[in-house]
Amino acid sequence: MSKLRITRRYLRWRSGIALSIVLAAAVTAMWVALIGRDTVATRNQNTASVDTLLLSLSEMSMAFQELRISPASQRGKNSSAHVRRAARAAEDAAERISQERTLKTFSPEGQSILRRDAMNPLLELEDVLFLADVAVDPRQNMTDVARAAGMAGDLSMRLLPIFNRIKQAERAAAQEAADTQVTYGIFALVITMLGVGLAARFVLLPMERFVIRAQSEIEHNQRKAEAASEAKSMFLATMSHEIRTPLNGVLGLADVLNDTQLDKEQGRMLAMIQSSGQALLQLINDVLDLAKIEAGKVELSYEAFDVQALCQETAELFSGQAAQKGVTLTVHAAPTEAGWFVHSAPQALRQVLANLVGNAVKFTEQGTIELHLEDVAPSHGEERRLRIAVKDDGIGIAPNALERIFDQFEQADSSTTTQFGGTGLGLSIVQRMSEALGGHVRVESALNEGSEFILELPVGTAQQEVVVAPRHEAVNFGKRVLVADDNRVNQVVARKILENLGCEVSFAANGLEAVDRAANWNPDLILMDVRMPMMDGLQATRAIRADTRHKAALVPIVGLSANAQAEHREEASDAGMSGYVEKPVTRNALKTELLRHWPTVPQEQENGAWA
Amino acid sequence: MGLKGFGFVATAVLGLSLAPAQAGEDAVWFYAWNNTIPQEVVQNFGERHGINVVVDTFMVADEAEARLAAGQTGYDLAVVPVEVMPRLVSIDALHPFDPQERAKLHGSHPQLMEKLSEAVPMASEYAVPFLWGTTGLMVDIDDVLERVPEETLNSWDLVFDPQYAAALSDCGITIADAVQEVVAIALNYLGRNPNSMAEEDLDAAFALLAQIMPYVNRVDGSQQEQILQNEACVALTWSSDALAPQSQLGRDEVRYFVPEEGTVLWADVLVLPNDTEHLAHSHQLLRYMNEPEVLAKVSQFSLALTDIPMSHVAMQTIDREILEQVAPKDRRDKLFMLTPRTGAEKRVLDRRWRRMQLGM
Repeated sequence: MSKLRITRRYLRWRSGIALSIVLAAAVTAMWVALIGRDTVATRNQNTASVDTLLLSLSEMSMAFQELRISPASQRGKNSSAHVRRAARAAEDAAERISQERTLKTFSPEGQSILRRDAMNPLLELEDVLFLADVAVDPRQNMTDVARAAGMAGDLSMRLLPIFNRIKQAERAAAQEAADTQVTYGIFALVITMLGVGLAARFVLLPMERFVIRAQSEIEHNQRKAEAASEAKSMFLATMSHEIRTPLNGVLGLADVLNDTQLDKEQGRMLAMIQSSGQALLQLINDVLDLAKIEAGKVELSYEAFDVQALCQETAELFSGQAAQKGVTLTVHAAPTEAGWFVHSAPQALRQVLANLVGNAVKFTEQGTIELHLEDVAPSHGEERRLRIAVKDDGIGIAPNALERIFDQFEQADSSTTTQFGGTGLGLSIVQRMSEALGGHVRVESALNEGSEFILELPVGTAQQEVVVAPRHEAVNFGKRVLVADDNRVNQVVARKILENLGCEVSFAANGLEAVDRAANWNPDLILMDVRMPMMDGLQATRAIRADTRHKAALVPIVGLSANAQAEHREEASDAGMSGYVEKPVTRNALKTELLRHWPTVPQEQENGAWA
Repeated sequence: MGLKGFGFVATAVLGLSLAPAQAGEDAVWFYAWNNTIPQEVVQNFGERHGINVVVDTFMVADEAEARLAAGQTGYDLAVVPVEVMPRLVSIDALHPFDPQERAKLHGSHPQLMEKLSEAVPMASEYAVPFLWGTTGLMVDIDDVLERVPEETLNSWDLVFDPQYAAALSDCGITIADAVQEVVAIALNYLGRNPNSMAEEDLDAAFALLAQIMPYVNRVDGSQQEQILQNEACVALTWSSDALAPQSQLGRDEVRYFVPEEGTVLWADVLVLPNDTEHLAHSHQLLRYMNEPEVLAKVSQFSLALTDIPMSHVAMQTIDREILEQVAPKDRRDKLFMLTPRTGAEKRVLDRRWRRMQLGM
């Protein structure tokens, strides 16, 4: 940063100099123009004075001629008047020129003539004017008038070419001044161009280089940061995935264990194992979600759903927890004409609401939690906006914490974690998800008076659909299921669940084995882990589907994967899989998937503990 | 070109004659005293070199000085009295002669050259001697002897002594318009240094001239004309001017005298105007004018001496009697040359000269 600042000052200094050069050149050009104008004006003035002298002298010399020949005649008297007038004009002009101030402005050649000793035109002119005075003096006798006129006439004639010469010198000087001015103009232009060149060479080009270098540096850093962020996301995703696999084992086995005869103490400990495992799974899922959001890989699947039911379900999810603390959890839906069947991304919305309600329950010791659903703006059309507010009577949030509670790993204060647990990722996910949904979330809260998180999001109004309520009856399929999974724990979990569902189970530890077993064992369905050593699930599926000699080529193959993204589903479908179950595999998810393939299986009355 | 064009327009408007400036390139312009260059000489040059010489002339030296001082004369070669030359050099109106060109010229008359170099040291650089003569009295002897005693013809008394001047006033006295010469002659007559510029000397000279001024008809450059037309019977003028009537017109009554008090020995020199565009033409004409045969013709026509020694075969055609009249042997040591005046000195002389003529 300091380097940047120095550079900027440096560039300013440079551009200042360059601009000064250009400015100086412009001022010089202006000055040259003004000087030139003055010079030309002076030359014109001087030429005009000399012109006056020339005209007066030629007038006088003609008049003197008349006077000399016939001083007493009418023509002589007429000429005398001419002389008087011309002499006055000549005298004025001579006086103007004679002033040192004016004399100085003449061209060097003009000055040398006007200042010279021999045949000095101004001094000789004085004599002409003196003789003219005599010639026009009425008191003079005619002989003297004629003599004076003669001498004055001769002298006037002699002076004419000299003054003419001065005039020509002035003309030449004016021409030269004009030429000089052009030269100066070109010089000024060259200076300006030089200034522009200097500015370009020492300021603009370095500045350009600097900007481009800075830009590429920024891009480079950005790429590095992106790469680092991607690496972090990759790391998180991989880590979470790797943690999830053994965790699935723990939870699955706990699930299976729950189906056995346990005493009260064991049941309590199993419940603790399950809740801790669920908490850990939640944390991993949060981290994965955040990583996905940050990597820009959130894929929202939009569909029509009942938002009121979603709110209700979410509330119910936490109702037990709330009831334990003596907190009332209620859902209010404001009346709406359009109904609550909307088009949006229910999974994302459910995640947001679960976080908000979960927090409310967590931070409220007593009182009520209200989940309020209402239309904000128009309740019809594409621009419909919903507001879902979660209001609690909890501990509230201090004003100084309000700004940062949406940041990652931030909680209202550091004691929160110790007191209430949590990762500080929940609200961050809420905010990111809300934004991904096109909405936004804000909070209003006062310390010790409770908080209200308000989510506003755009939705589309959808047509009401008949929802088939999920069946929770116990089933007994009585089929052969081949489980292809390299993980021992997963194998055990799958066996327990499938045996509970009345299935005969066989295992394959990798893709090759799976293909072999499919051909030899004649399963009714194959659960195929996508990621396996030697041959992965997709390859194995293609191999099984390709070998049409066996019955297995036509049986359902259900993919198992921790990767729930749509592209993976597509890949699986392309390979020939008929279904896809997300890990960790739960009893309900597996049962639902199996029911999809064998819908007509006879129902069996089951133990209520499985519900 | 623009300037020349303008000059032409200005000339036309002012009615000035600057003809040489617009002369075609096929002419050599020569500026000389009137009545000094014979037509034959002009013609021969044209025939020999295939290029015409145009001779422009002047009546008095001041006229030539002013014209050359104005510059842009258009002349390729000019004649001026040697004492005028330094003033023209001082205002950069003349071009020095190329020593190599000078070396091609014929030698000058040793005695005359010595006097000239003494009077005007820079002559060797800027001037080539051309014509020589004296300034004396041109007299209509019949008319004059009717009014004054014969012995006065030998002296400047004839014009400077008021009683004689008064006696001659009815038949007329005319004086050449050449202030420096006239003042020098007056000073010499008064026994003073003829080239003095001292105030008291000038006062004395102008007082002398003012005394006779009422009896003087005219002061100009047309003395010969006035004598021939009987407008005057005595003229203070140049030998070349004065000798012509007797020698060329057979008017024996018109004589030229060099007074016994002594007088001016004048020298006209060839100079190069500074604006000469064709130095080759100038040099061609210079060499031509220096040829003994040409000089002899000029001398014969103008009745002036040349710098070719009299012993030269070309000079045999000159009437030695006339030359004796220009500079009589017994008065040669009383001849003096004019030394150059500065511009300011010349102006003082000019002003006093003009005021004196107006009786001021």
